[in-house]
Amino acid sequence: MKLYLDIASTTEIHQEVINSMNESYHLFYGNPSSVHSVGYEANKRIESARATLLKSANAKNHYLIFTSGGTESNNLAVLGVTNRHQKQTSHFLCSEIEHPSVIRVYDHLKHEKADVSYIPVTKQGVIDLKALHDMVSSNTHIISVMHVNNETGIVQPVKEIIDLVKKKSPKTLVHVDGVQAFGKINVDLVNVNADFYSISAHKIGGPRGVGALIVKNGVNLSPIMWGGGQENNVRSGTENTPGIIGFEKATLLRINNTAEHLVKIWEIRKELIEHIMSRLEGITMIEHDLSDYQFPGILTISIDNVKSEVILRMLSDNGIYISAGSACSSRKTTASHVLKAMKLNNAVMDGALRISFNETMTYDQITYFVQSLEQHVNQMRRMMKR
Amino acid sequence: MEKMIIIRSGETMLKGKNRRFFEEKLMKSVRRVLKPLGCDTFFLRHNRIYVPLSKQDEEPLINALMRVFGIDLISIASKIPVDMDIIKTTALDELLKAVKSTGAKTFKVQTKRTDKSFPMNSQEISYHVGGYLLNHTEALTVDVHHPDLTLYVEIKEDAYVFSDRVRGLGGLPRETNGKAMLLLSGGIDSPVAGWLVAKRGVEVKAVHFHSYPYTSQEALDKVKNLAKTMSRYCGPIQLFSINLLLFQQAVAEKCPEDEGTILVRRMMTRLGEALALQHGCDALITGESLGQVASQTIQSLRVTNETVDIPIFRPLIAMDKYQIIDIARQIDTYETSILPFEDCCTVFLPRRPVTKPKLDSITKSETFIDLEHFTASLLDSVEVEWIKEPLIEFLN
Repeated sequence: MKLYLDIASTTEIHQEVINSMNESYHLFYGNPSSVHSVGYEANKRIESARATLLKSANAKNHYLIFTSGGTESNNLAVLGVTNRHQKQTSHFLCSEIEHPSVIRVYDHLKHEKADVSYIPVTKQGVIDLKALHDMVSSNTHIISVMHVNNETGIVQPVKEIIDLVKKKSPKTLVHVDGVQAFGKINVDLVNVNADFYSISAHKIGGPRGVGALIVKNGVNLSPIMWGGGQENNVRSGTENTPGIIGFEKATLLRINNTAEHLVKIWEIRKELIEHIMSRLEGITMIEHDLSDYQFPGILTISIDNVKSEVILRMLSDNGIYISAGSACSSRKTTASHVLKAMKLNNAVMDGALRISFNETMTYDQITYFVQSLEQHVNQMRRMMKR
Repeated sequence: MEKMIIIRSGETMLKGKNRRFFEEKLMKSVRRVLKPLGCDTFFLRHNRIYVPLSKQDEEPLINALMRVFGIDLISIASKIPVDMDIIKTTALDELLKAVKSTGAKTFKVQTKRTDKSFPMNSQEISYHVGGYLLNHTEALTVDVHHPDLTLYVEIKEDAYVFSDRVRGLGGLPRETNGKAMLLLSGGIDSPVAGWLVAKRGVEVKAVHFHSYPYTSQEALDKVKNLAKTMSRYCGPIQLFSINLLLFQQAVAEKCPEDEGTILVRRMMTRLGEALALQHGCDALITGESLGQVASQTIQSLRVTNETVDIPIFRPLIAMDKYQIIDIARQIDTYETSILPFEDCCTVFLPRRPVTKPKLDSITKSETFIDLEHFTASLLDSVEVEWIKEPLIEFLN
């Protein structure tokens, strides 16, 4: 059995997405900037994809810039509104649990002598609203928070955060990294009044190399690279038409059933947890007590007396693919910055595994996964416990 | 005039009646590196190998020869007719070229004459050529004791004139000194140890022990890359790999924790010897250096040594870490060695390993495990691969 339980790192591309992309290579190959009709057709197709994506996030007061993916969207949001003067005089805020493509941007600003602070999280992995309230000031230029955390699936109260920030400092811009949320939970930018919202295609069955930054009308972005002036002069480079069409298709395949899928994913999660708890001892669940704060498709557990990296390899030999911490950092031996920020102890971090799945996971797969896990954990504990 | 690379081998020449054997092996090694570069017209004469350079660029050939064991000196010479006038003008050309690239201010001429029918003796030739050079240059003086530059003239059937000589690796040609089995980990030391022994003309095979899935595929690939780098010098290396996990599990379950490392180490040398004997090797090679870690104390080495009958070569035994690192950098294994993948030992490291193991205590612990069973089944599970790197790949 082959069981891919790592969809938070990336997903297998959906066949219908491949079909629509294949078609686009023949129909919409023109350069969207060209005057002739082949180019114009491509341009029209891109504009329709743009409208679909904005609608999918219920973004009525926003525009959208296509990018090469989540990392570029996150960089563009922060660096695109930060000039040299702001670097020298303003204050910048980001949470301690952001994805590297956000946190490293702030680290970079800090390295360039900007005044940067990092917002702590509670032991439950939620941004500490009281600390945030104390940290925001009228001099805070921009703040980044993520919608769903990629390592724990913990959902941040982005509406509360934005309301709090805007109440204290109306001019402060708020960037939400929605890469793990878009297409998985309801994203409503009328309700959540973010200035920026980052999304990515490959997390929801779309292709790599395409993402977008949704920007509130009236917020002006400067480019972070220069060229032919595509995407409203903000993001130069010939548009990735097939990628954008694939992104649209992947979104359409998921967006109308999000609520339904979530119900199913909750059921699978509960089943998984029940199986794991009944067969294994020494398990720490890394999750939020309240379901409103937990995206069910990311299950993070820690197993006492095992090294997660070894379990990963053992499961991989059984055709089961999961992660330790986040995929981006699992090849390094350093502990996850997210789990560290949650003040978990070293033993818990050493044994932390991330299982990420969607509504298609079956009962048989759950049983197979837990059986394999149990077998390897027991074998390993015999060795490590001496 | 013809350009030539002249290759000299120091030790090979001293081999008396076996000289021909050593020379043939050296020719074979030279062929291995030069043929892929499209050069196959070299020949052996008077204990030297001559490589004519027709239109070929000499640089890649020299780089390739710098990786051949058994070569002491490499020089690029002009081959000319035995005629004093031609010798003088060629010497002048060589000198001017060398001065331009080295900025030398003093020089001397050194002559060797094998063709005794030539009317002048070596000293006379040096004197005349030197005088000619002095007369035709400015700001250069002769210093016979500590010259910045030496110009060599050799008189044989033809005359050869050259200035710079590059030191080769030295040692003895490959395949002249039997075979040995290297215990190759992913660390800095073992590739260096293998290289040093290979330099003495030994054909090196290697065995690697891992604990997959406790160690990663990356760690195993790293070892293969190390062997690949070594093969630039040593020629193709036969690499054996053995998963020791089951044995380590048995040791962890049944034996005292602090003896874990030494017990596994003893198993490695036992398996190493068995493989060595199976594949025609007469010795083991390890990267052990006295006192570096718990399994490399003098007592531990004694306890490990006791498991085998064939010699264990430990060329690094008295070296400091920085000396080992210097060689690792020189042979390009260092950057690979320091990649952070756990190798065999680290996962199972005891909290406090015994540093002065007692032989009777260790042998008693070994009675708790079925050694014969493990030796046989582990030898059964060996995976073998020939590792080599096409020469062209690393020269480009």
